[in-house]
Amino acid sequence: MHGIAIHCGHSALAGDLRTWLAGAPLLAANDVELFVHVGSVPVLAPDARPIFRQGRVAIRGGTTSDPTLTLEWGPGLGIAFIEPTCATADAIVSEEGLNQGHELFRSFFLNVCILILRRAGLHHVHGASLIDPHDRGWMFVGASGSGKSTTTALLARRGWQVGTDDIAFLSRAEDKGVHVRAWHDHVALRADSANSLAVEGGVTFDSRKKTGWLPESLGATWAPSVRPTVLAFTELDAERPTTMTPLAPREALHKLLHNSAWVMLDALVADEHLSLLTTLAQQTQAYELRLGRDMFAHPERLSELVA
Amino acid sequence: MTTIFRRHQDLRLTALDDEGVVLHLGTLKYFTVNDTGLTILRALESPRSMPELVTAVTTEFDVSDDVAEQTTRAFLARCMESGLIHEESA
Repeated sequence: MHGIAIHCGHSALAGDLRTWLAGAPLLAANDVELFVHVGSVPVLAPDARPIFRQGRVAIRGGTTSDPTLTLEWGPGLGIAFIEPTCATADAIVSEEGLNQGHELFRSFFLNVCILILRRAGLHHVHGASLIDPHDRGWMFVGASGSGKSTTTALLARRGWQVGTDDIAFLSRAEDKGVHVRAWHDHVALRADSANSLAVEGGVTFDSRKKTGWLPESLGATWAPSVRPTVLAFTELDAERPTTMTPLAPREALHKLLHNSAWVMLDALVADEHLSLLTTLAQQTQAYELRLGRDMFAHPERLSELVA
Repeated sequence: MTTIFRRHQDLRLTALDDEGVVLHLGTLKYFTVNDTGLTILRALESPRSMPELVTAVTTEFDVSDDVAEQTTRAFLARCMESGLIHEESA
């Protein structure tokens, strides 16, 4: 098993990258390498492929006839090329990109890593992963602002183990099931959620208008790998008590696809990603989870709702 | 001259509960198809003629050749509109 190897001639950036990745000990089955240069960012020629946008990042996916992935951050902040045959990215960051602080890692390098880790069998989903006190694996999936992070933080303070609140990777386990591997990062909360939880301290992420806490600082044990048996698609509904409505595997697969746009982005690994999403929909009991304000007082009620 | 049907090279398929899900990596869109559509798309892993596709459908489902051909023609027409399949002369 290997991590992500960094090759970078800019010593300060190389150090920052290694520190950032050391905090996220996500191991891949194959070698994953990231080559980074600092310099002027080239402008790409027009390309007929549709663009997938993720914030300020624009990705042109690898198709069968044009399998090189390109990722542009900007304009003019950074660019990365992922060649078709290996789990390797060549990235260029401009001086302006270097000055973007946390966004350099969160917007640019995280997306580059997500793309190259797919080549090593780790497939990203916007989701949270946890283990409840009965040893059941849970996964919360939903868009930004759907309550994943707040629910994760609430449960962390009630003795649940936490993998991640947002950066989850699906991988195939030896038993052919799907495991969720977690990027060890901060559970990031908006001010109103943090106030409701009455947690203090944390790391401020100005550009995201959030404050973050590692799972351990919320009182939880970090769970690097979770085998989910409960899959919950989160939505906020402050007007009503929390409900969980069972979904058929077919409905779960549609919702997973909606939250895993990456599945479309690389012809070489799309089959594997689609197969993992299908297995996840089959191995779990899925629910539509509508989160009411009662969650703040009684988050452990989730366990009762699926019992 | 025979008309053959060819699946777009950027399609990826999966199946769950008798429903197929089709991803089109070239357009970043996805589609759902019923079990008959899934049978036809799977048969099109290699280019096929209409009689070959009708045989694939009648092998899988208890329907007459006429019904299978009608269903297959209607499905292929919808797929061609969405760019999932194209036809060519062989």
